[in-house]
Amino acid sequence: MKPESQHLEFLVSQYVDGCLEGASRKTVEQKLLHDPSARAIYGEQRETQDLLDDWGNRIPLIDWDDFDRTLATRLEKEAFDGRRARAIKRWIKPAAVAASLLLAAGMGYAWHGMSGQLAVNAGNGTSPIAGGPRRNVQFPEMQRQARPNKSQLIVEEPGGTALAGNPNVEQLAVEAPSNNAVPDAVRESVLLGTPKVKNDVAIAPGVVGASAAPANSNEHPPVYP
Amino acid sequence: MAALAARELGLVLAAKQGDRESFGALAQQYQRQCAAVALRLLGNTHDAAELVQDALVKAFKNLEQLQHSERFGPWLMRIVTNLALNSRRSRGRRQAVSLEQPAADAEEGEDLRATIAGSTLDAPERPLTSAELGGAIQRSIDGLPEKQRLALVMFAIEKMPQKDVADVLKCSVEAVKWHVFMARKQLRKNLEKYL
Repeated sequence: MKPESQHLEFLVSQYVDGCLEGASRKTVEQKLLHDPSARAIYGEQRETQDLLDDWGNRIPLIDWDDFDRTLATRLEKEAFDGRRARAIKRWIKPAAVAASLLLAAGMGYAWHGMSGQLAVNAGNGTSPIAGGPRRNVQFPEMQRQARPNKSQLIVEEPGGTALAGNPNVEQLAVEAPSNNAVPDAVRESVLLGTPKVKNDVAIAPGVVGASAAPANSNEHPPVYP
Repeated sequence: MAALAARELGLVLAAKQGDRESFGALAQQYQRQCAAVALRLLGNTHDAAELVQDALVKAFKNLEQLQHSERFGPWLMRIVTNLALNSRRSRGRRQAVSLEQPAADAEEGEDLRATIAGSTLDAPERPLTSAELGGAIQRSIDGLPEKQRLALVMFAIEKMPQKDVADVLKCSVEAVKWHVFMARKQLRKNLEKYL
């Protein structure tokens, strides 16, 4: 089919539907007046549309009273459900906030407890996070609060009496990590209160909880003659 | 006309505030046209009535989403046509299943026979030509591409304004004209022996 012919059909279709205005309408009417093929196209389209109009005049057999009653019931139910949903929606936000706060508080509490444990473990030079073995080190409360470093202990008590008198010394020494193993001679000297070692770097971290031994021994000169 | 539009707008705005009576008035205003379109698309009066109920309830539930309150009619009609298309698709799937398993379910088989008969079980109230011609028209319309079918039913049969049809189809007015033209042409071809 030629494009011009299809264009004419399209224009006639709009003419049948009453959608043409102004110049287009006049053009089509001139065509219909002088062109028999245009009139044939118009006749076909008019006939089809008349058939559709006849068919479209069927009115659906619906009991509208019953329809209205059913619809009213459904709308009422819907309105009730909607109110309930809105009420739930109104409460669910504060409830969610409260639950979140509770959860946050719980997590904070748990974290606080865990961080205390971490500090203890860090004192051992290990961390449970790093996957190292957990040490069962239990400092008495007083000792944890004022944890002396090794230098203080040794300087203040050159004879080692403080360490010897400390009831936890034995426990600490026994539970010292294996990788910071205390040489037997040193341990004996600490326990007996007769330190004979010049440089006590090996004892300190595991025993008294100091973080690490200084790499440079010049920063911490030997205490004992 | 302007007074009618203003009254309708007032009803829509009141319904948006939750006034069920206003929505009821709107439903009464549109339900016949909706039912007619649904009937042309589904070919079954009972299904059409149920679909219009569903569409009105859905419209009531989602009325807040209607941005242009003055366009309630096309918006409602879009809900009707969408539901009708979904219903046709699910019916098509059911038929495909029953064709594959013909003895599976007597009810399915009945449904299929009713469809094959062109929905003539729902006798039209005023058969202008004949039941056979009515069935042929329905089948021809059913066989049209979706947009052509909707454009033909809403514009050429139900006489909805082209702008409203364009709103429903989400296309231009020119496209609606083209769909109607093509649909009518195809319909004539299919119904040649009746004309």
